[in-house]
Amino acid sequence: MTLSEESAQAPSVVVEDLPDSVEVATEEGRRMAAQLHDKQPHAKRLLEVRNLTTQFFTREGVVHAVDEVSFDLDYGETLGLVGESGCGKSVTALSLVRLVPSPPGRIVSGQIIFDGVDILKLSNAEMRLMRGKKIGFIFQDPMTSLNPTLPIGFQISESAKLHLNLSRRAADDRAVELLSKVGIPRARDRMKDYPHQFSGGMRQRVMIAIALACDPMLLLADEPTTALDVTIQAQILDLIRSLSEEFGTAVILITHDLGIAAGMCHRVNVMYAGRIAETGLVDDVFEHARHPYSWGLMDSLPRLTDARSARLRTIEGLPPDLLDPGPECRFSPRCHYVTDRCRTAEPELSSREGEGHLARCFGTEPGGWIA
Amino acid sequence: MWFKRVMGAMVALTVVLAACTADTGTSQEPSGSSTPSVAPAEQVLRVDIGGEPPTLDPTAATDSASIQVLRSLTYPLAYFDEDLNIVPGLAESWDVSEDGQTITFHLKSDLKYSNGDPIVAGDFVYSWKRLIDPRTAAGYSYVMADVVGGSELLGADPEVDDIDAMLDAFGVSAPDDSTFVVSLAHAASYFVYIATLWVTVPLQESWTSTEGFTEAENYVSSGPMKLTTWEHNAQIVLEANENWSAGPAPTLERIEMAMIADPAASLGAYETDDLDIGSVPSQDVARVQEDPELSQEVLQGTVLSIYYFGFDLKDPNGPFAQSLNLRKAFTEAIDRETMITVAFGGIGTVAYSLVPPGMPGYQDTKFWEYNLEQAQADFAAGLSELGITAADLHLQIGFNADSNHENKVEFMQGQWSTAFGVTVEPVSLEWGAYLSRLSEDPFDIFRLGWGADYPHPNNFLTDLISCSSGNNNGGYCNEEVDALLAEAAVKATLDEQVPLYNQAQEQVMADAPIITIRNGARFTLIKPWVQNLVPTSQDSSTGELFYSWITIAPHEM
Amino acid sequence: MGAYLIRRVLWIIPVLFVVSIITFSLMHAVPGGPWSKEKKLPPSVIEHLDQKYNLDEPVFIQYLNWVGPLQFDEGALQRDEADNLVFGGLLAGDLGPSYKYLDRSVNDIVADGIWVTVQLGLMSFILSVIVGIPLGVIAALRHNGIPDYAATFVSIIGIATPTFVASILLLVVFSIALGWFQPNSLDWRTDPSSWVLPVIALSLFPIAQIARYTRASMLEVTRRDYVRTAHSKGVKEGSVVVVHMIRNALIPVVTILGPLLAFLITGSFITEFIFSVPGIGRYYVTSIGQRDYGVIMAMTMLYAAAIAIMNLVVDVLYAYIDPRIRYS
Repeated sequence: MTLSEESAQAPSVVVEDLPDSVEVATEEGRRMAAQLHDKQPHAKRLLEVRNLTTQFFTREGVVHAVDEVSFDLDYGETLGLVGESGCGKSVTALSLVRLVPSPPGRIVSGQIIFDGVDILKLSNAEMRLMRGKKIGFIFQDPMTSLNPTLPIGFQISESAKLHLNLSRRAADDRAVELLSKVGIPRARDRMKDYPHQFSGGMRQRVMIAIALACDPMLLLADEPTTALDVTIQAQILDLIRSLSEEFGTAVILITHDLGIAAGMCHRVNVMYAGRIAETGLVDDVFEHARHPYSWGLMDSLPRLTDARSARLRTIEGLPPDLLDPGPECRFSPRCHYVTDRCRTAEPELSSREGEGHLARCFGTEPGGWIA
Repeated sequence: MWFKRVMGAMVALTVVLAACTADTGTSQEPSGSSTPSVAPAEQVLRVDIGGEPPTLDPTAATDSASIQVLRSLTYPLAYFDEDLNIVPGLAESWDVSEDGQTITFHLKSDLKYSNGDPIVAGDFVYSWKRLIDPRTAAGYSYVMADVVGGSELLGADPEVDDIDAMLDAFGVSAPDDSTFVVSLAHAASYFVYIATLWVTVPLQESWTSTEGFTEAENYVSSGPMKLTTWEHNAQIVLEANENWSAGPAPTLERIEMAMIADPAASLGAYETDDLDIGSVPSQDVARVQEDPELSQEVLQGTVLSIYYFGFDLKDPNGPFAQSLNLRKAFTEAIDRETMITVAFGGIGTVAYSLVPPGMPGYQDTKFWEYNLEQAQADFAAGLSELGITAADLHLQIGFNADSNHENKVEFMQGQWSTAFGVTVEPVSLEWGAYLSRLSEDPFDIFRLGWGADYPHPNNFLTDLISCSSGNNNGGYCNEEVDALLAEAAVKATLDEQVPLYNQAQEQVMADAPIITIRNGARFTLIKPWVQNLVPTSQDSSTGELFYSWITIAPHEM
Repeated sequence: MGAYLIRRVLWIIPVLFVVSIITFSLMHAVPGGPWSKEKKLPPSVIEHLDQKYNLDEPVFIQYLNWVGPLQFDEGALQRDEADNLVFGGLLAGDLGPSYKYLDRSVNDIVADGIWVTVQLGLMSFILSVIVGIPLGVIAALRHNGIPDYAATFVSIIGIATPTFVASILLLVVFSIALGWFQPNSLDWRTDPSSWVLPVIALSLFPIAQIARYTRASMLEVTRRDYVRTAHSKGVKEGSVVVVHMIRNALIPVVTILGPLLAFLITGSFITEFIFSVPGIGRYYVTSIGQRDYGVIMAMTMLYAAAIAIMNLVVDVLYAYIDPRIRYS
C-alpha cells in the first residue's frame, strides 16, 4: 500500500511519541491507525457498541429492530454486517449516527462510545459535528441519495466547508481532488454537473467522495453496491478498500453478500432478527461458522461447482416478526437442528474457537448436539 | 348568481356590521362637554354613480349613471322646478303656434359654455340634427320622431338614402342666434318635455368633432357644473361653471362622483362618511331602519316607476290572449299589499294603475283590487270560455335571473296556486337573453319595469302600451286606446290632455293586459349636513336634477 | 432552449386564433345584443346602431373585420364616408370600439385598467408565494404539531372561503367597522393603503392552495434519501431545509403557480368589483352581460394570452428549478 502524499507527509513523530494513555486524541489516533493498519490491525478501539437497542413505535406495536447489539471496531478496521433484509443491519448503522427516522424510530437503550465519546449523550449540535466530519456514510441507492437539484461539486464541498472551515475556493479544490480520487475523469469540469448527468456507478463514486470529504475516522457503507451492475460493484468496492486503507478509515460495511464481506472485511457480524447471531474474524466465521444461520447464508451462495440444473439453495421460511419476538431462539423456526431447548430460551453469545469468535447457538456450544 | 351570493353574505354579515358600527358610532360621538371645532364646510358633494358612465356625450347617453352626471354638465331649453313643473331653462320663453305644430324658443341672453363661447341657437340645430342623424345612431333619437322629417330619418338607411338632404329638411332652424324654431309633423303637446331631456341640450360642432371630446380636458359644458376630472373607472369631479348664467349660480364648489360597483361597498362608504348620499341595497333596508343613527338619515319618496308583469297577448292562441276573464283572475288573485311587505321589504306602494302617483294624469282609483272569490269566479269563467280545465293550463312565468326577482315570482306563484290550484312554471334567463326572448316570443307572464323619461302620462301610456310601441312586449293593442292617446297628444294644455289620458288608462286597465305591482320608492340616506337637496319623483338618483344648488352645512368629519 | 422558447411562443398564435374564433362565434350565438335594454330602442335605431358598428354584416365578415384588414395606418375609431366606424383590427393592434362605453375604444379601456389589474394580480401572487410557501414549510416541519394544525386550519379556511365572501368580510370589518381603510379609494396610484384589502382578499385562496401543496410536497421530500444524505453530512437543520428540501419541494408547487397566477390576474373580477378597483378584471364578466362584443373579445384574448404566457413562464421556471428538465 502506498500512502498518499498527504499521509506520507504526516510527521512520523506522532508515532514515536505515541503515549501509553488509553485516550487517544482523535486526529493522532487516526494517523496512528493509518500507519499501524497493516501490522497491527486491532491496536485501539474506535467504536464500542454496547447493548444497542433501537425500536420503532408503530401503530401495530413496537418493532424490535435492533435488540441488545454489542460489538467493537478498531481504528482502521473493516467490519462487515451481514444478514438478510430486515435483520437490523441498516438500523444499526443509522443508530450509530443517530439518523434513525424519528418518529417512529428511537434508540431505546445502550451505549455507543465512538473515539472515546458517548454518542448517545451528545447534544444534537455536537452530534451534527460528528456526522460527515468523523463518520462518513455511503447509502445504498446512489440514484436517490444525491440531491437532484444541486451540482455535485456543491454536494461534495458542502461538508468540507462546514466542518473544515474551508473557504469556498478551498472547498471546491478539495472536492475536485476527491472527485479525481474516486476516479471521476475531468473532475473540475464536472463539478457543475448535476447527479442526473452521471451513471449509477459514477454517482456512487460521488457518494464516496462526499462521505470521505472530511477524512472521517469511520465510514458507514450501507449496501454500497447493491444497486449497481456487477462489474461496477467490484470497482466501487476496490475504491472503498483502497481509499479506506489510504486514509486509514475504519469501515463498517453492510451487505447481504457474503462474498463481498469475505473479500473486504477483517471481521464480520452476522445479524439475524435484530441480533448478532455470530461474530468473529472473517476466516473464523466463514471457514468455521458456528451458527446454523451462518451456514444457511453460506449455503445459499451459488458455487461454480454446482450443476447447472441445481436449484439455488435458500433458507426455508421467513425471518420472524420483530413486533413481538418470543423467548425462543429467533432462528429456531427455520433451524434444521432445532430442539425443545431452542424453543424455550434464546442462547447468549458465547465463545467459539478463534479470536473474538462468538456465536448464539445452544447446539454449537461445547457439548452441544451439533458437530 | 354570484351577485346574489354576495348579497346573501352581506345579510349574514349584517349582525357583525351592526355590532361594529354601533361601537364606532358611540366612539365617534363627541362627548357632551367638548366643543367640536366646526370649520366652515367646503361646498363639496360626494355621491356614488355606481360605475363608469358609458358616455358623457349628451346625444348618446341612455343610462342612469351617464344621465346623473350629464344633468349637472348640461342644461336644456326647458327645465323643471322642484314640483316638476316645466320652467324656462336656456330658453327664456317659448311660443306654440295655433296649430300646435311650431314651437319657437327664445334663448336667454349672454349664455356661455364653460369654455367661454356663447351658446347660440345654431348649436341646438346642430345638436338636434346630430341626435336624429342615423349615422350617429343615438339611442334616444326616437324622441325626435315628432319633428318634421324625424320619422323619415328614423327609418332611413344611410347606405341608401341621402341623409344630408334629409337633415336639411329636418324641422329645426335658427333664424337668429337667440331663436330656435322646431316644426312638428303633428301637434304634440308634450313636446316641450322633450326639450328638457339631456339629449336635446346645445352642442358646439367644433367641440363634438374634437378627438376625445368627452374627456375632462376637452369637455365643454352648458350646465351649472363643468367636468374637471374623469379618471376612468375611478372618479369624476365636477366644479362650478363660472360662465354659467342660465339660472342661480351653483352653490357647490365641487361634486365628487365615485364609481362603486358593489352596492354593499357603496353603503359602507356612506357609513364611513366617504359619501354624502347613500343608496341602500334591499337587503340592508331593515338594518338601516333599525339603526338609531342611520334611520334618522333616511329619505323616502316616490319614484315615477312601475314594476309589472305582462301577459302574452302576441300569441292569439294563448290562454291570456283569448280570455279577458283569465287575465282578470290572475290579477285579482294577487294580494299586492302583502306582496310589498313580503317581497319588497315594505318599500314602495302598490301600483293600482299604470300612471304612477306624482305624475299628471294619475288616478287615485284601485283598478283590480285583491279579491280571491272574484278571482276564482273569473278563473272558472275563463276556463269555460276556453272549454278547458285547470289541468290544461301549462303556464310559464319568465323573469331575468340576475336581480332578486325570485321571491316576487315565488310569491305570485303561491297566490295563483292557492287561488286556482295552478302551478305556473318559473323560467329565468340572463338579462340579454331574456330581453331578446321577450321581443320574439314572450312568456305567458313576464316581469318588467318601466321608469319615466319625462313626467308626462304620454311616457307611461303611449310609450309603453300603445299598439306600435316597441316596449309593448305583450303585444296589447286596442285601437280605442290609441285613438284617445292620439287625441290627447294634440291638446295644448295638460288640463285638456288629462281627461283623455284618464280615459285611455281606464280602458287599458279594464283590458288587464298587465298586472301592475308596485310603484318605485326612494330609500336614500342623506347626511344631515347636506342641505337644500331637492328630490323629485323623476330622479333616478336622489336630487340629481338640482345637485348644483345643494349646500353643505358645517360639520365634523 | 432558445429554439424551444421560440417554438412555444409561436404556438401561442394558433391557440389564440382558435380561442378567438370560438369566442366570437359563441358570443354572437348568444341571444340579445349590445343594444338590448329594458326600455327598448326602436328597431330603426337598432338598425342604425348595427350599421354604425358593422353589426349588420354576416358574423364571419365581422370576424374578419375584427381580425383586421391589415390597415396598419388606421387609428382607433376612425370613420368611413358613411360615418360608420372603421378600425384597424387586431392585427393592427386595434381592438375596436366598445359597445357599452361609447366614448372610448377598447384600446383605451384596456390601456387604462390593465396595469391596475396586473399590479393587483402580481401583488397578490407575490403575497401568496411569500406567505403560502413558508406556511407550508413550517407546517411540514412541525408535522402533526400545533403549527401544522394551525397552518392546515388556515388553508382549509382559505380554500373554503370564496373570494367574494372574503372580500366582503374584509370590507365590512376593516373598512366599514374599524375604518382602517377607505371603502372606495380614489388614489390607487398614490395611496398604497388602497391595495391592502383587495390584495389580501385576492390572496387568501392562493395562499391556502400554495401552503397545502408545499406542505404535502415538503412532507414527501422529508423522506427522501438525499435529505438523509444531507443529514449524514452534518448539515445544519436549517440548511437542510433551505438548501436541500425547499427547492425540491417547490418543483410540484411550481406547476400550480402558473394556473394560479393566471387565476389571480383573470380572477380579480369580484375583488375589483367589491373594492372599486379601477382595473379591467370587472369587464371580464360585465362585458358579457352587456354584450359588449369588443370588450369581450379583448378580455378573452388578453386572458388567453396571459394564461398561455404564464404556462410558458412556469415551464421555464420549472427547468430552472429542476436541472433534470431541459427543453430542446
